[in-house]
Amino acid sequence: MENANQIVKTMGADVWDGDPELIADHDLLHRVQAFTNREARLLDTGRVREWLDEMIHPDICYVIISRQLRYIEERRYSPPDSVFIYDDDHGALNARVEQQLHPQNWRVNPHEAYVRIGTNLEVTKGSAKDRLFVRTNWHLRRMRRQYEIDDFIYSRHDELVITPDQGFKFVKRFIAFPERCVQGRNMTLFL
Amino acid sequence: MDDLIDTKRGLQSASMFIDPHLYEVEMEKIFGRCWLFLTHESAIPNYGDFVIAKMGEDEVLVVRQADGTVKAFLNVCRHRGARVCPVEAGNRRAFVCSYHGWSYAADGSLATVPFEKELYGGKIDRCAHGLKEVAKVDSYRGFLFGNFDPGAISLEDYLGDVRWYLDIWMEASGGVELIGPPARSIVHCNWKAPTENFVGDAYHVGWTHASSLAVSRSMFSPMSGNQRLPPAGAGAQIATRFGHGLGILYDVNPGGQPAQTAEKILAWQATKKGKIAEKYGELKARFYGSHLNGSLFPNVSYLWGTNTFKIWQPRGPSETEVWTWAIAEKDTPEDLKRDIYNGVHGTFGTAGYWEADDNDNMESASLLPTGWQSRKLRLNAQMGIGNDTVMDEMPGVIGQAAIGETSYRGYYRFYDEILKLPSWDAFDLNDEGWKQQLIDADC
Ligand code: FES
Ligand SMILES: [Fe+2]
Repeated sequence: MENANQIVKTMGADVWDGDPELIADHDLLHRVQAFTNREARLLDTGRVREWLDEMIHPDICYVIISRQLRYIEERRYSPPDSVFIYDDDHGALNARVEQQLHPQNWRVNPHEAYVRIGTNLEVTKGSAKDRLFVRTNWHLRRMRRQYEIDDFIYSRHDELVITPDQGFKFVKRFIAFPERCVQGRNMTLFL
Repeated sequence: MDDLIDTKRGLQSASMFIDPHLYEVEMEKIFGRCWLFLTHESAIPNYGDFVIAKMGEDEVLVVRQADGTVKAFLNVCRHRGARVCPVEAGNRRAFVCSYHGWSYAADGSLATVPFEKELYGGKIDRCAHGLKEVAKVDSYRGFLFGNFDPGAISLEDYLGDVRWYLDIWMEASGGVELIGPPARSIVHCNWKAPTENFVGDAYHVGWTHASSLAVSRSMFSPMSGNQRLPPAGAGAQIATRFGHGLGILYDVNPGGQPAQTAEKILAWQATKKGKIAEKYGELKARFYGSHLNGSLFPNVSYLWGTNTFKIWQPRGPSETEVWTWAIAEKDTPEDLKRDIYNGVHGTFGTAGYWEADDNDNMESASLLPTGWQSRKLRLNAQMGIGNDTVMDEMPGVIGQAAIGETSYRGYYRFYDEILKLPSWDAFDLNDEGWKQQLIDADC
């Protein structure tokens, strides 16, 4: 397994370590915003099949890590510091979607409710000409059964592919989940 | 306390999941006296390497010593009780408290006190203010355990009969490692609810996990939705002296792993099985290629085959923090190791969908007994009762079916015994009466 720093690089999320030149093209920004809004709406309303089929690139690399707490100045201890909460390709995401929609998934019957609040959108050039890096912050709340409320707050680093029809698909998603011990029970929902 | 566990009839009081007084007793009698998992040796190979572990609700610092041994200490400063080490792992020759700056050496001794001469005038007894040491630390096949009770029996004795089964994957396999730091999350359940599930609940798999089985295309998938029972002779359950227990499903080792990974694991194991049979016998070689689900009393669980290692850390009667690692045979090729790792975290990690399937049941079973009437109910673990037996070739008490509740009964038999045990001095290691207790049980 790798250390967080390497994973961030592999995922291209290190572009946000500095101050990359932000895209100022309002039309493009507006379309990216509409795209992320649609994703949130589909996921909030249980339309996970459409989400996967229409918004996720076949080469998707969907990664959420949790980083072990270490001293900042640690030099002598080198075992990997990260846990992969998610390290999913398209097939793995598909299995999750199938499971959510399965009639014998007792957990999502009655329906869980979700609200995603997204903000702080920044867009910069991606790793290739037809790609964009997008950074956003999110508050995702899951409400289920009679009393359960689970909150997930995180920064998200996506890479989008611009499709020939000027639409988009997510091809990379990277989140370093900021809570070391996840208070929200489990993360079987899409961040 | 007397009517909490009915070993004779295989029943437990639902109040054991909620009673705050009982929880305090558990901390004292169980977590204060049993061997508790700390970490794997491989996480702290060098002098000064350390990890933070939990023993009950106590936070401990587990440190590799200059002489290669391992010591563990409460992570609590002996001045005003602040946390000494705020990280989870690292390498340090000294630990400095962030409150007033007392520092401790890797062996726990109090090393420096700021302005000691000027402010204490020589009146502080340094020797009496080292970090409080955990009485016993010992290792079994690389797995480190600690015990707060200086009078406790040895780790080897405490593991007892279950060592024979642990050795299948801890030794005959060529040795295993735990990969990376653990995933950590909170489940709103009593610590026993998941531990009892892993000790011996093959019954829930087809139903609770119906949807996960259906989509994972694993070797267990035919059980989805209770469409099929494992055939007769497909497995066994084992209960042992100290509550450790397990269930075996024969010849389906990569049980919960997705189909592609399962195939690779089977191919890999096929290359090793012959040698294992030669060295450890056919039976152990068969078990090596089987799926084992088990718990070590009080709060460790593992799945050999689904490669999962967990510890259920109590945080009050109604909350548990789960730490999850992937287990891999040390000599596994790196790419397969990675597949196994992803399989584990995709099924039983924080975002594992099998894990989430289980959460609801464990949480509701743990929280509903807040109801005064619900608390008075008895929980039933009678499946297969009356059929438990002993066998020459397999240690422990055996339930000869793939699905049954033998190891639930064994787990709670010891739970009851340790709660009532005045001290380890009063414990007779050679008393075999516990077997008869389980064999004679009947509803
Ligand atoms: S509490 Fe640690 S130095 Fe005072
Ligand atoms: Fe389960």
